[in-house]
Amino acid sequence: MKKFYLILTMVIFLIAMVLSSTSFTQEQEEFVIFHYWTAGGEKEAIDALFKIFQERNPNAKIVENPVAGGGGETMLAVLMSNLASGLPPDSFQDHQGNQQKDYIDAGYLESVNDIWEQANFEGRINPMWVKTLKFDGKVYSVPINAHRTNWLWYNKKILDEVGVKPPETYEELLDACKKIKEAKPDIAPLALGTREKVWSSYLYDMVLLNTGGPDFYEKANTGRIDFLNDPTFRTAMERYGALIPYIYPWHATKSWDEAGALLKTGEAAMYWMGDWILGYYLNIGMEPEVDFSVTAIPKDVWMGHADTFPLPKGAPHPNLAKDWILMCTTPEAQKAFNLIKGSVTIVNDVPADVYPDPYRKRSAVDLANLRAVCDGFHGGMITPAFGSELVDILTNFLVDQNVDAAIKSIAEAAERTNLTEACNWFWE
Amino acid sequence: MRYYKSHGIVFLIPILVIVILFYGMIIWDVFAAFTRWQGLLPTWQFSGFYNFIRLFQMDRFWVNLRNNILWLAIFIVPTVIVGFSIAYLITNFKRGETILWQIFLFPMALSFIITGVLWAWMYDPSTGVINSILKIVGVNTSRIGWIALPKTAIYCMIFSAFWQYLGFALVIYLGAIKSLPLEMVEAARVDGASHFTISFRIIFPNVGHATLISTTMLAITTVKAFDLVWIMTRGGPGVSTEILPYLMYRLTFDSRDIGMGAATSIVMLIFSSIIVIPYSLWALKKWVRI
Repeated sequence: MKKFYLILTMVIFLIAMVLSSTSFTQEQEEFVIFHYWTAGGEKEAIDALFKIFQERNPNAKIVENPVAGGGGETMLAVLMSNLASGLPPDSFQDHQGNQQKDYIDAGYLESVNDIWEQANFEGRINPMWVKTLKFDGKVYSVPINAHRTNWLWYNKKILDEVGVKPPETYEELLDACKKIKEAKPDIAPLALGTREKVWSSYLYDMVLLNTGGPDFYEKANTGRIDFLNDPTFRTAMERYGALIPYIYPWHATKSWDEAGALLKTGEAAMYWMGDWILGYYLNIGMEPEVDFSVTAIPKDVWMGHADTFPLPKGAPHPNLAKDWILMCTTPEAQKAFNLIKGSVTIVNDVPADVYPDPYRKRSAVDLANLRAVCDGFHGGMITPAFGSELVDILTNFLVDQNVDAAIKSIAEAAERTNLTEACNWFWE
Repeated sequence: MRYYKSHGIVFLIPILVIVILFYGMIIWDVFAAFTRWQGLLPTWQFSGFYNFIRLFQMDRFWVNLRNNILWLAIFIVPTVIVGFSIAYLITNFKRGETILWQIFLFPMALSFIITGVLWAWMYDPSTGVINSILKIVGVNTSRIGWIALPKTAIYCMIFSAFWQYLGFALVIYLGAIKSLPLEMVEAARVDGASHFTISFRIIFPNVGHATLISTTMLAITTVKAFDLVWIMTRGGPGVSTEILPYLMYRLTFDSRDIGMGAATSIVMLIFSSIIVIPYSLWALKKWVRI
C-alpha cells in the first residue's frame, strides 16, 4: 500500500510539472526581450520604452531576460545558446555592423525593410547608419540611440591654469599634452584605462580618423588598405606612439570609469571617451562647464555607435516584436529613451534643445549635419575576431611603443582573420 | 531490506551519465579542434591541423605557454619549501600551534576572485597600499608599477597565488610530519644534528608522499588559474600575463573562433596530462595493490 502511495505522489508531481510548463508557454501576448541595461539610469531608460510599449499593447506582458543569469555580461552567452537551440526571444539588445553580421550569417535574424519603409526611417537618419545596418539590401534591426565617441573630456581648471585651449585637432592635442607635462610634471596629460583592453582601440580610431580623414578611416577599419606599406597608416601609428609618453602610466590597472575619475582627482587632465562618461561625471558630483567640459576631435566629424533591436527569425510573438521595432522608430520613443540614457536620438526629427546639457545638444546637431562614421570595435566596423586581436596588439604597443612591430602584428591579424573579405558587405 | 547488485547499478546511473557526457564532450572538442569553425554556426568541415598550425604560429601562444611553465616553476617550488619550513617550525611550538596553522590556512578559504581583487588593490601603483607604504618610507614609487608593468606583472600575480596556497602546503606537511615516528628525530637530536639538518635531511625525505600530493595539486592549480588572470589583469599589460586557459576563452568567445579555441584546449589537455598521468600511475602503484 505504501508503495502505491509513493508511486501515486510521483505521478502527480510529474503531471503537475508537465502541466505547469505547458500552461507557461501557452500564455498569450508575452513579449520576451533580452537586454543588459540593468545599471542605474539605463534601467530607467528601458523602462520608459516599456511604458510606451505597454500603452500601445495593453494586453502584452513584458518579460525581460527570462533566463536566470541572463543580465549583464552573461546575456550574450545565454542569448547565443538560445538562438542556437531555436528558442529566440522576441528582440534583444545588439550593436551594428560586424557585431550584427555574425547573427545574420548564422541565419538568426529576419529583415525589417517593411518597417523601415513604413516609418520612412532611412530619410530621417544620418546616411552612416544605413551604411552600417544594411546588408545586401536588407536591414534587420532598428537603432535606438547614438553614443558619440570622438569626445575629449578635460579638466577645465588644469587646462585654464596651464593656459592651453581645448584641442580640436591631433596636433593641438599633442601640443596640449606637451604643455601640460611641462607645466605640471606630476599630472598625466591623458587618462586611459586598459583593464578592459577595448579602450585602447578608441585612441586607434582617433588617430586613424585624424590622420587620413573619414574615408581613409573606413577603408582602414574594413581592411581595404595595405597595413604593412600604407604611409598614412604608418603616420597614424606613429602619432599613436607619440601620445604614449603622455598617457597615464598605470593604465593597465584602471577600468574606464576609474580612469575617468582621474580627471576629478586632478591626476590626469584629458580623457578620450564616449559620452556615457557624462552620466558618471554627474554622478560623482562634477559640475559641467566648471569642473569639466568636452571637445570633439576632429570637430567636423561625428563618430560613434548605436544600440539596436533586431528581429530574430522565429520570434515567438512576431506581431509584438514587429510593433516593438516600429515603436523604436518613433520620435516619442527615441526621445523618452535617450533623455534618460545619456545618449542622443538616431532620428533627426527630435529637436536638439530637448537635451538639458550642452554636450548632447551639440552631439545631436552634429549628428544631423556632419559626416558621420561608426567607431571600430563597438560600432562593428571591424570584425569581433580582428577586434579581439587588435586590442591585444594595441595594449602591447602601449607598453613597448614599437611602431614597426605593431604594424606587422596588425597586418598579420587582419590576414589571419580575413578582415578584408569579412567586411566586403560594407562596400556593396 | 536486502541488498541486490542491481540496486547498486541503479544508483550509479546518474554518475555514469555525467561521466559519459564528460568524455563525450572531450571527443566533441577534439572534433571541433580539427574543423574550420568560425562564427556562431557550426561548420563541421574537416581542416586537418590547420588550427594547430595557426596556433603555433602566433607569438601570443608561446607567451602563454611560457607563462604556464613559469607558473609551474616559480609557484610550486617556493610554496612547497616555505610550506614545509613553516610546518616544521609550527610542530616545534608547544603552544599556539592550532592558532598558527589556522592563520596560515585562512587564505585557502578565499576564492581566487577575492584574492585577485585584494591583491590588485594592494598592487595598484597610484593608490595601492604597497606603494603608499613605500612612499611613507621615502621610496620614489613613480617607476614601481607592480602589475601595471609587463616585466613584473606575472611575478606579482604568482606571489598572490603563493600567499593563498601556502596554507595548503602547510597543512599537508603538518599532517605528514605528525605521523612520523618521534624516535627518529630524537635519535638525530641526541647525535647533535641542527634544526636544518633535521628538517631537510631527515624529515623532508620521509614525507615524500606529502611533497607529491602538494606538488601535483599545486600543478593542477596553475593550469586553472584563469580566475586570477581575469580579475587582476585580464591578461595585460599587453598579453604578458595570459595563460593558456585565458587564451582559450578569448579565442572562443571574443574572437568567436571556436576551432582555434578547441585546439588550445587540446594543447591544455596534453599539457595537464603530462603532469597528472605520471602522478596517477605512481600513486596507483604505491597505494593500491592490484
